[in-house]
Amino acid sequence: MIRLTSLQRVSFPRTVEEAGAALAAAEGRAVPIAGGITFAFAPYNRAEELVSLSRLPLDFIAKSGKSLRVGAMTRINDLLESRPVASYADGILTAVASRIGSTLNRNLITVGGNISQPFIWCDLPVALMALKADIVTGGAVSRSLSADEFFARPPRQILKTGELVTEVVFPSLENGTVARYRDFTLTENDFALIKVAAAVRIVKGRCREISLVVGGASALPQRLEKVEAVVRGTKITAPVLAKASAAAEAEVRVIKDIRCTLKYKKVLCGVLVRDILERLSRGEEGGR
Amino acid sequence: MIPISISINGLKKSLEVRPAESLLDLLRRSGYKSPKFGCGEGACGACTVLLDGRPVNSCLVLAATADGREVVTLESLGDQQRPHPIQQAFMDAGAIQCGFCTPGMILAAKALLDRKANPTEDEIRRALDGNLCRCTGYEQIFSGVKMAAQRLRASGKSAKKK
Repeated sequence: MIRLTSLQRVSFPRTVEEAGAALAAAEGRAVPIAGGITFAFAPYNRAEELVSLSRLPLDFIAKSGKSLRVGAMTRINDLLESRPVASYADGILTAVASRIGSTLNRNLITVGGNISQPFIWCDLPVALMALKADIVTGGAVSRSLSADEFFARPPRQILKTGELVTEVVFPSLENGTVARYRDFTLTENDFALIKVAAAVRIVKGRCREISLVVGGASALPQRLEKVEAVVRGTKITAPVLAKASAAAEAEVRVIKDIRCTLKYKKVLCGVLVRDILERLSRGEEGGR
Repeated sequence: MIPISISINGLKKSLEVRPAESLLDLLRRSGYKSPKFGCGEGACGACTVLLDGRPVNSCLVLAATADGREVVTLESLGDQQRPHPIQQAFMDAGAIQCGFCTPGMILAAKALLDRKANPTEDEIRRALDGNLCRCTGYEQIFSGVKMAAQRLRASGKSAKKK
């Protein structure tokens, strides 16, 4: 149900600059609309104007060497079916895209929307942080933010008035890096209780670098730095996995979820961290 | 009211929409009754239409943002006298029970078959993963899509035309 009781007009700018200017001029009375899914869940009763981003030239996927650029207006189904995306980082982004909503909603949800308005169920923010992607903005302010910076607080507090996400840049990964995404849902079409994305670089059997991020535990994704410290520099053996699992359970911060207890979520986080690290240590690629 | 230009089933129309009106509400008050109001929050697929060729939940699309776009509803596919091959296959496969989800199922299937003439079982299931059938007749529905795909291939036609 769309709840926009104060809405009076919709504009269709054709450039990012025009969109930024329209948002800035409205002084908080206008909100940008990409796929529009958010309006079914979040009340924006005060919004008097919608600035549609549908005509901006931000619907693209471009591979440059081993890095990947994805425009903010790229729809999730296009991400899911893209060959360049499937060939990047062991296909982790394809795996993530397949977990977002249904086909009908993936045809509406955009990459920019999924990260600019992250809900606890959003999957992309977790992967962006694990892959150390950069988020590029334009409009009133043009800059590049690391995913860690972007998700440090709710993005609406990070983005200035009239500033829009224009694209996500996924970096070239060093040789030996493998990445994976794992989630746990109670039913196939429910959103995950906990999800984990990880990228590790293993050289001569030892983990040289690790990036491990958990989602679903709280409103924003969390990097588990203590777990990363446990694993970095080690051979990922059974004792290391046990230690990493316990560290994850202790480190993750969880908020109330009607579907299970806080303790259950913490334990589940430990289980998924152990599982994903075990699979990565065996060189298993992509997928869930 | 906000003026929009929209193509519905190939006919260009100039309409006035209420600012917060959904595409589903616009279609139904304009006489297109095949998209149904089910959940109103993008979970059931009863309101499926094709927007620029892609199946979407029309309850989540703001009508004002559909300006300049092409909408296809089930009404454009066929009727009782001349059913579309997908509609015929659904009838032959026993894929219709109460019928509430059927328009959405058929349009989701059409969008798939427009792109893939010979989809796998997994691809069919994924294409219909946003369309719920409360009669739980999924196996017959999947059979109907497979049957339609087979007939369309045999006739050398695409799902786009009858």
